[in-house]
Amino acid sequence: MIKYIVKILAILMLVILQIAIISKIAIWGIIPNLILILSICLILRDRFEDGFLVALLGGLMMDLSSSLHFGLFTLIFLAILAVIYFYLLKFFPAPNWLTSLLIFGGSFLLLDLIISLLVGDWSWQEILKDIIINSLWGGIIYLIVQRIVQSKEEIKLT
Amino acid sequence: MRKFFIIVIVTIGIVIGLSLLPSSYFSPVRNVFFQALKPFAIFGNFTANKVSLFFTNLTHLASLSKENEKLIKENLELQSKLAVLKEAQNESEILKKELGFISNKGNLNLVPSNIIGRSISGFLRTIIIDRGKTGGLKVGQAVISQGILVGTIKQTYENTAEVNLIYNYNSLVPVMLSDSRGTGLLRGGLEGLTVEDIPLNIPIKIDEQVVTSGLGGEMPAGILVGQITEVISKEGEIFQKVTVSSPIEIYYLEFVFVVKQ
Repeated sequence: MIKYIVKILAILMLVILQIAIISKIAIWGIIPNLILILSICLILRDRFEDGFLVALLGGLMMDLSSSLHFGLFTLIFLAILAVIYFYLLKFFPAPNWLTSLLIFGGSFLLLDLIISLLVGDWSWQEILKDIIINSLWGGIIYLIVQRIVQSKEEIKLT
Repeated sequence: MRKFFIIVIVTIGIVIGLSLLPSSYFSPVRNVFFQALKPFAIFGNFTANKVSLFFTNLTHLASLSKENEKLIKENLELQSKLAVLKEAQNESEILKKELGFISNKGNLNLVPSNIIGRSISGFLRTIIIDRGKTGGLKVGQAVISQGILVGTIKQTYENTAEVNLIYNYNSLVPVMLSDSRGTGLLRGGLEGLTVEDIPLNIPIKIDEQVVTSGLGGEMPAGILVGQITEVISKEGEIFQKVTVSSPIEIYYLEFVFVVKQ
C-alpha cells in the first residue's frame, strides 16, 4: 500500500513539473511530454503496471489542465502503451537505444496526428519538430531509466 | 497480472464514461487543481526563467551586440516618432472635447495575473492564469502583455481562468489595420498569425500595425497585435489575407494583464 502511495505522489510531482515548470524549457516552442515519455520508458523496461499507472494518473491530470474533452489524453496515452506492449514488444523484446528512439517517434506521431485531427489544425513542420524533440528527450530519459529501473528479466537473473 | 488487467479495463470504462459528461462538470475540480498548481508555477517562473534566460543569452551571444545596435537605432527613431505622436494626441484630445466624444481608454481596468499553467501540446496553445470569476473576469476579455494582445479568456473558474492564446487555431479576434483602416479577423494556427477577410479595396502596407477593432464582445479597440509581414492572398480571391508577426515570446511570459472595460 505504501509503495502505491509513494508512486502516486511521485506521479503527482511529475505532473506538477510537467504543467507548471517544464513548459519553461520549450525548445522551438515544443514542450517535452514527460508523462508519455516516462510511461513508454517503463513499458520498454517491462514495467507494465508502473507505466500504466503513470499514463493513467498523468493523463487524467493533463486532461484536467487541457482545453480538450476530458479523458482524451488518458485514452490516447493508454492506447499508445497498449500498442507498444501488446504489439511492438513482441518484435523487439529488449529494445536498444535506437529502437527506443523509433518507438518514441512513432508514439508522438500518433499523438500529434490525433490531436491535429481534433483541433483541426495541421502542420507537418510542427509535427516533425514535436517528434524530433520529444524523441530526443525520450532517448535521454530512457538512458537514465535503463540505469535506475531493472527489467523483470534482469531481476530474475540477479 | 490478471487482476491488474481487470482494473485497467474498469478504469478505461470509467474514463470513457467521464469523457461523455459536459466539460462544465469538471469546473470545480479544475479550479482546485489549478489553485494547487499556483505555488509551484510561481516558483517555476522564478527559477526556470533564470536558467532558460542564461542559456538563451549564451546561445545568442554573437547576435546580441548586433541586436543592441539595432535597438539603439530603433529607440532613437521611436523617440522622434513619440514626440510627433504626443503632439497629435494633444490635438486629437482637444478636437474630441470640442466634438463631445467620451474617451473610453481611461476606463480600461487592468487585472494583473500570474501564468500558472500551459497546455502541454503545442497544438492547443492555451495558458492558465490565477484570476477567475472572483476577480471579475469574463469570457472574451482581452489578455495583454506589455500592451500587446496575447489572447482572450476562454473559460473562467472560481479563482482561475483559461486563456486561448492568439496562436491557437480556434482563436478569432476582430482586428483593424492601423494605416489602411481595413478590418479583418485575426486567426492563429501552427503556421503563424494571419488576418483574413480584409476587403479587396484596402491598400495594405507591409509593416503596418494590426490593432483590435473592438467589434463585438468584451475586447476594447486599439490593442496592438503585431505588424503585417506579408500579403498571402492569391489572385481571384474575394478577400485579402496577410501574415502578422507578434513581438511577444509567449513561452517566456510570467504574468499577463486581463483588460476589463
